[in-house]
Amino acid sequence: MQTASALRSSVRSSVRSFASSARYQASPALNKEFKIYRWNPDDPAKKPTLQSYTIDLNQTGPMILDALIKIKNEVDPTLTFRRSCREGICGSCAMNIDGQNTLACLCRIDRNPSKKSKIYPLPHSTFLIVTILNPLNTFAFTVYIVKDLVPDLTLFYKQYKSIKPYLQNDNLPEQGEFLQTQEDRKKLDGLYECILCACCSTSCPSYWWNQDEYLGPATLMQAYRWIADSRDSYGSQRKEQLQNEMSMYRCHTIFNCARTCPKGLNPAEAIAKIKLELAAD
Amino acid sequence: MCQVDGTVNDPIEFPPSSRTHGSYHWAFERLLAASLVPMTAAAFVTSGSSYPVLDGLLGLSLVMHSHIGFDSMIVDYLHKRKFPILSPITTWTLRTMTVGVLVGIYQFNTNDIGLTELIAKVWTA
Repeated sequence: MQTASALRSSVRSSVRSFASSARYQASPALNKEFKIYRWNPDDPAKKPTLQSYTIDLNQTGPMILDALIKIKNEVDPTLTFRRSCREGICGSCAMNIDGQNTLACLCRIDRNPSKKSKIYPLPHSTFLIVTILNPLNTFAFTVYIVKDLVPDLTLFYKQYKSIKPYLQNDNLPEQGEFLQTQEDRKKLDGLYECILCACCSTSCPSYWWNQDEYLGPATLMQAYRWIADSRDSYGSQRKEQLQNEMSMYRCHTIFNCARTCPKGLNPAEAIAKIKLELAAD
Repeated sequence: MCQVDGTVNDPIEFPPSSRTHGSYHWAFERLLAASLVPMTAAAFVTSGSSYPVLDGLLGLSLVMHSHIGFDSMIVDYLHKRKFPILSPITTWTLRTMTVGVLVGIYQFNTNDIGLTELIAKVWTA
């Protein structure tokens, strides 16, 4: 009796120690270096720098956003970035990761520890040269940095507002809602999914040079989203607004927008469709 | 920080609408570029001395095509709102060059062997 109980307890303890070793004997550290753009508005004279952080990938979630959150929580609480939904639907964590504009929450960490990951904010135009050459001429610009990985999207939102991104129709239906055929609804697929993260606009060279006048791919795709909507009756006014040299025709079909879109949308195609509609108008 | 017109809640203003600078310009540019393809092919299979009209048309189209291309570069990189002095200088230099080249091509086509023959000669030289 005694021996049986001793045996049982010894078996139990060995099982427990096996289970706990499986859980707590973590796989060896996989240290990876992240180089992250830092700039502090409280110290504006100090030039932006890349700061290195090394973290253990085996103690981190799979995405770049997980690494950023880990660094902020455990290494450096002054690191500043936007994030909210962590599942690619809010567009807050748009940034330039290893040379590509994308959402940090949808971007997997490259697990090769010998490769450093470089993280910059969304590219912003350096109009410095222009202002030095031409100090008296002020003009509205640009995507600036608020702090670290947080870009100032004021102009981006002002441009979005300018295309009146809402339904305009003077003839309201007698009762109920506007009806739409399934074919007409299909025309909005690939357009309405845009979350306005600004990855595409800030990847566009035309937008870098002329963002104070050129609307950029994100805003233009939304302009087309309302032109294409069968329930909207202001299509001709919407199109007429774009009839000038700068607002849309600065698009030179570079396709950086379609390549970088983290939602897999194609703003270049939407712009091409506006151009076609204007040409046929 | 960010210089913008009006408050952050105001939409940006659109420039005055003009189809000449908008869709007409775009359509003309594309039609011209597309028509250069058959024109070049036609010039390749014929000879400039037997089809002087085609030779002249090709010269004119090529010069217009490059003028539009260069002008687009000025709008992109040297726009008047950023470069109030340099931009007009560049624009007028381009216009002078274009007119000069057009006159030169006209002279060359009427008094000399012409564009197509020249290329054919250089090709076989």
